[in-house]
Amino acid sequence: MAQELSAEDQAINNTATLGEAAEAPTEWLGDTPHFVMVGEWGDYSFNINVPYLDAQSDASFSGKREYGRDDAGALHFIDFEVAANAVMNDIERTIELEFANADFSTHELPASFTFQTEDEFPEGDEASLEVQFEWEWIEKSAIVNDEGLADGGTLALALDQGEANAEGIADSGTIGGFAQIEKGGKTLALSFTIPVTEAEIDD
Amino acid sequence: MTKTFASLLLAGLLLGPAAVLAQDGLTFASVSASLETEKVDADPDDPAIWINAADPAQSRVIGTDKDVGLVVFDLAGRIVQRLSDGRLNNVDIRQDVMLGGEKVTLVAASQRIDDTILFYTIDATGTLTEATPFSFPGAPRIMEDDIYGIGLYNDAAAGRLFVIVSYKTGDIMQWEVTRESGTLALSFIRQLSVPTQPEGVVADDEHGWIYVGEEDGGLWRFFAAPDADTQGVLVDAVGSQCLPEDDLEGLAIARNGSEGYLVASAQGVNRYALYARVPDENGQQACLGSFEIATGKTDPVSETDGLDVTTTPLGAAFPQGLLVVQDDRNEGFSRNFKFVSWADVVDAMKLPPQ
Repeated sequence: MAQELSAEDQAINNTATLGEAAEAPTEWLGDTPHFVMVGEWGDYSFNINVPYLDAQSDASFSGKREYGRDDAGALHFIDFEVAANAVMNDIERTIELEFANADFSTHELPASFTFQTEDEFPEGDEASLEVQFEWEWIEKSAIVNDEGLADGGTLALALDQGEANAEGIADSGTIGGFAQIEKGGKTLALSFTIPVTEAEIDD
Repeated sequence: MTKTFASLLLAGLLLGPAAVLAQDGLTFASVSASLETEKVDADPDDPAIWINAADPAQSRVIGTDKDVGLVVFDLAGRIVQRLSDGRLNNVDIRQDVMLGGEKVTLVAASQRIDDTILFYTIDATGTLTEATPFSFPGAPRIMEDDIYGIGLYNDAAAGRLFVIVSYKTGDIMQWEVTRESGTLALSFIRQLSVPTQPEGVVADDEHGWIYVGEEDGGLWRFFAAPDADTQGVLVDAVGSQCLPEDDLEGLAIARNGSEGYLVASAQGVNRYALYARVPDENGQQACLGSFEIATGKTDPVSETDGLDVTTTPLGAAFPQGLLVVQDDRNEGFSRNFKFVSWADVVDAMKLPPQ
């Protein structure tokens, strides 16, 4: 027998909330570590409001930088990922936002980028953004795994601090900014300042 | 109410535990895992089952933990050995193979740090030890992208063993493995290819086939013999009822005498598809349907990836064998492997008795 989630359960499954309900941010909320994401993506809605990241919290918000080498061997900062792992209305949920550009490090901050879908690592003031979220509602045996590219919107990269390690890549520090994310006529607003905990070179 | 499987997925309908939906002659079912392993440190991918013939309940599961190496579990899911040998992606095993006049059990793993093939031997207790030599190049030339999947093919009649590795480029390298005085050697045999990135590789030793999973493309079958035609046959394409979405991931052979099933991990829909193991007179291998691993004694399995299956009874817990699968999400944002009694799959998918 096929079993369908009730409308009430579907609403719980498709809505991720954390913290006090917030209005969608309209600009970067500053360099105090935070993660605020409000809006809709496909069938899913988000109201995640963590204005002060707490290291003691069960919730985890972290960033990762990724670098690529050109033919001459020079490193370029081509990608950064903002990830959230947290229990949101009683379900463990993971959200990952991956921003890409030919080289973020060549832009003087603050820098603005427009999202496009044609190139994976667009040049100049264009960027790409892949949004992915996944979770299991164990009691209902419900699995969500959705991913896609933003088809419009902007990124205002405001902060990128971190010292290069021996490999020449920055695996620490903080990264922050504001994104207005559009997909299929729906909008997500994101303000973030999060610690970078990892970096790698994409071979 | 009649719905296609695809529309069920789109509508967000779920199959409850032990539920079965028959559609167009296909069976879509739901099973649950018997138990789950301890969590691994990083990112599990692919398992291989070592069968302890003397005491099947003391068999072992060898799993890759992609940023760490290999982890070995007992059948209760407890970690009994860790081998921190790097970024091991996929793993395969052949037991009691005659090589150089000796019977040996070999484990092969694909190593992404330096695109190599690593070999281990296993003793009678199921403990892995590095083979001599331990590491071999995965390709006879410099490749443009990473090594990825791996499979072993044992042609018992000819007394020959082969290792097959897939590369993200779509290239597949087949090597012959020989052993003299305890020392392994590899000889390059030939190259196969699929159009885009493959991962899963499995050989059907008895029927002489190599299967390759092209992640976004579909399931390919090749002759395994070293001098055979290198042209592949597309068994099923992504977009079909059994593989409605990419990626196609792990592959394994579930034996039932000379027949049985090819099990394929359909990651995009968190399910496992079953294909007839033996092609029909037209070379077709029908898909029989697919199943999910839903909430039961454990959480469900999501983003299905690597897998292995044996239909050899492994004690009271697994009387018709064991299916081991990677699970990408687990409580506490961890990852592990799930153990499923193959008897439950046989029952849920309404397969003939083993």
